[in-house]
Amino acid sequence: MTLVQMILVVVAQTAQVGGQLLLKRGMSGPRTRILLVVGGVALLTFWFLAWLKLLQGIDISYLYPFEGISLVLLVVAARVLLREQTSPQAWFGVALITSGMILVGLS
Amino acid sequence: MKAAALPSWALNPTLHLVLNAALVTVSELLLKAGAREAAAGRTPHWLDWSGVPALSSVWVLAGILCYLLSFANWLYLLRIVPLYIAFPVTNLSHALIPMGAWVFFGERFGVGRALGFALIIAGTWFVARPSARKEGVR
Repeated sequence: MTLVQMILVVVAQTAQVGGQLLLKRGMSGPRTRILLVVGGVALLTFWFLAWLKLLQGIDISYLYPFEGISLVLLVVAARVLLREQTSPQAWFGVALITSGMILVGLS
Repeated sequence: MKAAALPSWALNPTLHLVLNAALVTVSELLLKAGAREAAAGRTPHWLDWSGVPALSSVWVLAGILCYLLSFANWLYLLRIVPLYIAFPVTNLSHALIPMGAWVFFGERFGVGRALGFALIIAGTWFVARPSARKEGVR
């Protein structure tokens, strides 16, 4: 993986997490905030295109663990930025999922 | 569509979490079926009379439809379930898609992968089970 690809992975996964946070903020609350939803869809579209680009150059096995890392990033962001009440059990589950994805990538 | 017009079970968060993982998985498998067909250069005979084969493939159209449904379902999920629960559940597809590809297309995977899929499924269970509760349906 080249430096440029590495940067693109980080940017793409950050966009995915940011997009989901915007969608969540847009959909929760008494009324739907359409601007946040549109912004979320835009970020997710960017993530999708960036991911396609990465898949053209890198084996999917190498990209799998980064999906696991973005899951951890998302749960941290949901806790810190959205103030969701994550339980220790949920963190254990996230650890299992991430190790599962790393294992899938390695095998 | 007014949410109040639906029976209460149809709004159940756990049902919609399962539905999301299923729709994402089925959509991907349908697209794969369409791609295989395109590669083989044929469409089902029973549709030859219609214009549908010209739109590449019924499989692809069905895949796109499932994808759109999964997005509508995702927006509804975000309204009723915390993000830290909904997102891991949608990631179940990382295990379910290869397993479906094994069942339907005969794609194989080794023991390491099978173990990884088991970890993903077990982890999702731990995240989603105790807290799949309504945040408040409006």
